Amino acid sequence: MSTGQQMDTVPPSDYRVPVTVVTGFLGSGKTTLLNYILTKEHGKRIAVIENEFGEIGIDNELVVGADEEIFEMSNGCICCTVRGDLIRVLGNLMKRKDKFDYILIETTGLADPSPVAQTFFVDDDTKDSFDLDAIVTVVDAKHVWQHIDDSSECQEQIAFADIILLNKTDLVTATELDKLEQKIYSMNSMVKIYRTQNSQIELDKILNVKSFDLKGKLEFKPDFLKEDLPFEWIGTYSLTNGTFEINFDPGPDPSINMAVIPVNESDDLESIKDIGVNTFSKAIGTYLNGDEFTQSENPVLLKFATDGGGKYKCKIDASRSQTYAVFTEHLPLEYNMTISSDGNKLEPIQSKIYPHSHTHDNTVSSIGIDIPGSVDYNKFNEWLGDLLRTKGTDIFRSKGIISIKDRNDRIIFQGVHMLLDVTSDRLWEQNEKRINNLVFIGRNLNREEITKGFSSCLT
Amino acid sequence: MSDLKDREKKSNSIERWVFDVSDFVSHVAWSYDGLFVAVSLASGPIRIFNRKDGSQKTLEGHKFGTMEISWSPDNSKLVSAGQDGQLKIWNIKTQKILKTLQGGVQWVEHVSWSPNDDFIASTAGKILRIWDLEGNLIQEYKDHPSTITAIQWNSSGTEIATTSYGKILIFRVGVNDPQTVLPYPSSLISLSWNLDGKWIVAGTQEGSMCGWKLPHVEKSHIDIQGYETKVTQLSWSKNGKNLATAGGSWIVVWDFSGKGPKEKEPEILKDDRRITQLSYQNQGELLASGTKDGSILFWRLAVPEKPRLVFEVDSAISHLRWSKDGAFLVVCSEDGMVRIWNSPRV
Repeated sequence: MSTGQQMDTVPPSDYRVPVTVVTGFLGSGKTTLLNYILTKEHGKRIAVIENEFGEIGIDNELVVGADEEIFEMSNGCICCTVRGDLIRVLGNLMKRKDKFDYILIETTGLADPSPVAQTFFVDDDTKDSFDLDAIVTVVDAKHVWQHIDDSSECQEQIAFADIILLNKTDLVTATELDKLEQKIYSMNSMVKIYRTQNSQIELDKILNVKSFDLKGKLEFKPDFLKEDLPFEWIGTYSLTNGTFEINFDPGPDPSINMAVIPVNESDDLESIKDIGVNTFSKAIGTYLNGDEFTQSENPVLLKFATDGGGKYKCKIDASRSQTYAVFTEHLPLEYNMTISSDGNKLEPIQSKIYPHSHTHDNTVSSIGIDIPGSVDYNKFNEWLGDLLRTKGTDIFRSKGIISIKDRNDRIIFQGVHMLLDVTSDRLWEQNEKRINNLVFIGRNLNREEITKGFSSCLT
Repeated sequence: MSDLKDREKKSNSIERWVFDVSDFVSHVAWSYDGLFVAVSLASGPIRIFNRKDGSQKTLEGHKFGTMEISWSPDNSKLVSAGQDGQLKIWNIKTQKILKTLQGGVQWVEHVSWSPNDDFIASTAGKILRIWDLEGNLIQEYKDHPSTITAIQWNSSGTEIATTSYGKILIFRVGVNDPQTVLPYPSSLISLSWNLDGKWIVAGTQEGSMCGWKLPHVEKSHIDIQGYETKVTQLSWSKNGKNLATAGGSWIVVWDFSGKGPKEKEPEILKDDRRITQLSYQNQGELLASGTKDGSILFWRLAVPEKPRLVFEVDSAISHLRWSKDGAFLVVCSEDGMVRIWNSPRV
């Protein structure tokens, strides 16, 4: 098998049994999720293939244990690597007279998702009988921070996921969850995130979602992280006339830019964001520890005392509005920032984290392309083929909607490493803006190079 | 292929019996005398059909499903392997269990009665076990690199070969560790020893095939690449001269006479249907292939351009086996039909 190969056209999916792959570290709540599904879907014939024999057993007659058996190919091609245990067990399950309504595969916490996904595209028998529906990754919201930056397994499980359950949300604060969610989106902009406790979720959100079905709805968040915002956090507060105090504990930097701007109570954070961007481009007033400043259209630079923390007073002109947006250059969490009025700590009405798109080598990231216009089909084909051939090892997953010059239909594609599936989608509507949306998820991806490469295909 | 249509016939002319087992057939085995066909079902029961009078018997089989079956050379007993982790030895006449052996913790995937009637070999996951007929475990080898994908005895029943990820292992009865290791860097999924035990070949997951001539394995290694898909089918002709192989829709027949297939052009039997089964007629010249779309094709090597006969059934062919004397063929399809045919005249 060569690289850059095209996936065969798969037979109609109506008689194929859907398969959901559940990944996640040991203790994240995978087994709880499986048991939850089996209880909720009582009456359906669901087979479970389990690679990890955890402490909590799965309460179902149709559980098959299988050791993870990775079949690397002699040509070394990573996209041909499949899971022998799955081919074998799925093959046998297919022989069961009354078949199954659904198959769940639970991988070990350290499993690499690529061979699991590839098995459903590379092996003929598996492809004929089963339909990979989605990869669901269960993330322990409290403990994932221990792994997310240096465990490649953890990163790959997040990068490969179609759906992530942020589990054990009862153990962390809303702010920490926001931060984690943004971190995950920065790695995988295609993923859907649901916050759960005890892995409980409406099943139609995770089963039969057809994530690998090109004819299904392709959803993108390609805009995400394209912009480099000057702030990392926005919170809105309801403030009354007078003065309130802002306190910072020692943090990673000796100063912080912040702005306090009146907004309308009904404004959503997305529209406020633009006000923030404009404000931060303006002049900055510098204040030292203990200073008082007035809420203004301009951001202020707060310089902390030598011990790192700071206390400031901000005067509010209440004639304008009672809702204020506070923009901070770094996360409030990093400085344990508090805002109080008359000694009472205030909580934000809404808040959102906008992490910087730091490009670290070796980390997993998503690159979104969102460019209007149409491409030359041959040029595009050559570019994409070349990209997957040379970077296919690092590109875990890709998806896209493409506008081709002189064609009335949208072209859509999706890939797992070098395996690519391309098909024609619906027609562009008459007044519809021709636009190209692509997402690449992987390691060591060069945003500039990929964007430039794609742009060169435009006509 | 324009004249192919004329050759497509209804199978009435050769059909002897049709049985509806209403289940997926997991394995099929002819008794040595060619009188019975045993068919194990994915849901558990084992059906035994008398080829002569069409009578049938049912063995209870295994809870959760029966995976493989194998006849004793005297045709009086059958051993079965199941998803309940057990091996069962059955008396065919009484349909009773003679012995139950604990063949594994989970699925016992392969079982084979030795041709000399002395041993039973079974595999569960990475473990090969050999039992005597009293049910005593006489050897066990746990160190296969992956789940064992196939096993086969040599014709004298003194050695048994296994395939798993990256190697064929050959074991001598009574010795725990393999006496021969034949490495090939791929996932081996099918295995076949020719009748005189000289050549041993294996097919791989990635569309290649490897083989060795025993005992001079260093000099005789063959490595054949380029199949369309995984090579699941390997079948030797009656004299062990030709090996028919398939991975995709073409049958590739290699000439293993003399020094083997190196530097010889194989015979390629071209068709556009995806092959699921391949079986050379014992004691005859016919090669039968079964396909995904439910066709059964009969080929003669002397005329390789097109199949001599094509029959069609309603669903994909899951098993195709000639009786030992080559006079009958059993054909199982995925819709749960088991057909016993006379060998066609071509």
